[in-house]
Amino acid sequence: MILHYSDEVLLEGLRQQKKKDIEYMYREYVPVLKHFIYRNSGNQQDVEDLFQDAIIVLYKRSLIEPFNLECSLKTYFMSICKNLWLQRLERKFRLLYQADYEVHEPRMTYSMEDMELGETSLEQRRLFYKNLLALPKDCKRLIELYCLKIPIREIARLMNYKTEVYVKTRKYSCKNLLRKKILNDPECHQFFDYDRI
Amino acid sequence: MILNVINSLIMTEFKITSDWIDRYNEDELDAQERDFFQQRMLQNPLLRTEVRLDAQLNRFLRDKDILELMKKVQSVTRKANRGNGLMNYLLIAASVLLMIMAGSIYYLVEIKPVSHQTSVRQQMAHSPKKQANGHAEKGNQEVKPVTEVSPVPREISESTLLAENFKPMAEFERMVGSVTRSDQIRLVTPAARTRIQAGIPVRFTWISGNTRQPVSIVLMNNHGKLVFESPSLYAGSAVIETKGLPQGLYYWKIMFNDELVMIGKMTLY
Repeated sequence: MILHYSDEVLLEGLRQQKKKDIEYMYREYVPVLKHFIYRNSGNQQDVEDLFQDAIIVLYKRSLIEPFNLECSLKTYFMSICKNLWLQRLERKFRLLYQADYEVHEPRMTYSMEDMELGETSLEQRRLFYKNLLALPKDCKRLIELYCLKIPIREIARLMNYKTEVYVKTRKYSCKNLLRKKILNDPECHQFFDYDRI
Repeated sequence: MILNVINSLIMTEFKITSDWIDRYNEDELDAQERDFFQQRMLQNPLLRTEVRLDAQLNRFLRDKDILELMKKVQSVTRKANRGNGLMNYLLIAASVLLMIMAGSIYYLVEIKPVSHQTSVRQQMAHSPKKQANGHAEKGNQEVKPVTEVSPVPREISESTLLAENFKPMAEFERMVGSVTRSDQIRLVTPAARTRIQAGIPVRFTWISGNTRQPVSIVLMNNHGKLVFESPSLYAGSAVIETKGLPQGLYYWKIMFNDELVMIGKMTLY
């Protein structure tokens, strides 16, 4: 049996980060998104990246009160995707890109300007996340615990480290490893150029 | 000026390690260390980049909500991809099945002649009664080969194929010309070893003491595969058409009352 969720239910589910709602959105929105991306020189990886980015934008937006939709959630979601994709193309290919908008609603209701999350920032997040996942398991956990501001003594207990000094030393080396991984990532130079500071 | 020199002399005492970047961004350096570090940053663009990267990384790592959301979205995407993977496997399985079916059809089409021969042979085994009722009792009976020689793999070139067709078969070769039963039937033609031009009919004639017992002629290729088997023959002769038979070596057998009488060979050239 296929369940259909209303936009309100989906938004509430997204606010609570419910996996089944994200799955529903993936099932419902990705075919349209895929069609759009494939027609505009993208591939499957771009579709997945863009879906993730748009979900983050939608999530952040949904937390801002009041959040009133003037169109369907799907249209809103697609307008986020299209805006992000446009910016990505412009940045990546440095081309003036004319998007082939196929939105049936009278106007685009989403603008990146009113969002703290720009396309570059989203892509940067993905770069960080990708490299965070590539870290050894203990490193990843240690960094996560550290960033949650869990006391060092508690981290030492959770991670079975003998001393608190070792927690710090290990954390430094893990962070250093993560930084090196990011800096060695070919995509990194879009964001971190030595001459920019 | 002097102060700067003194400062730089003091600063050179420090050795920057990778943890300094973390400590700088977390404001854990003391004033002297911070000054020294900032001096170094001004001189070293890579260090500057790393510090900036670390600051942004910290911001990213502290946004627990977004990290959790990214984790969930990734797991949803992976799950969907696994589903697609399963679909791909199913497609591959369907393709393999299709290939097997195509192969089976090919096999049936190519091997069918032999099966058909078998069925003809079986049919013949049941036919004597019908033949005895007057259908086969005519002077000369013309018998057409049922099919061509059984298939040979297609990869073999034409000349190899032809040479293969002339290779003698040791088992039959030993028996060529020997007569196993001569008391009731004597073969007149052809000779035990004959060379015939392909397409020219071969006449088999024999004298039988008991005309009520049927004679049958079996033709095999040089691999011992049945090319055709005649129906039960009651007259003293039969003509075998060689038209359509590929060039090569063939062995024939004369069967009388279902017992082997003689084996001979003929070369179609």
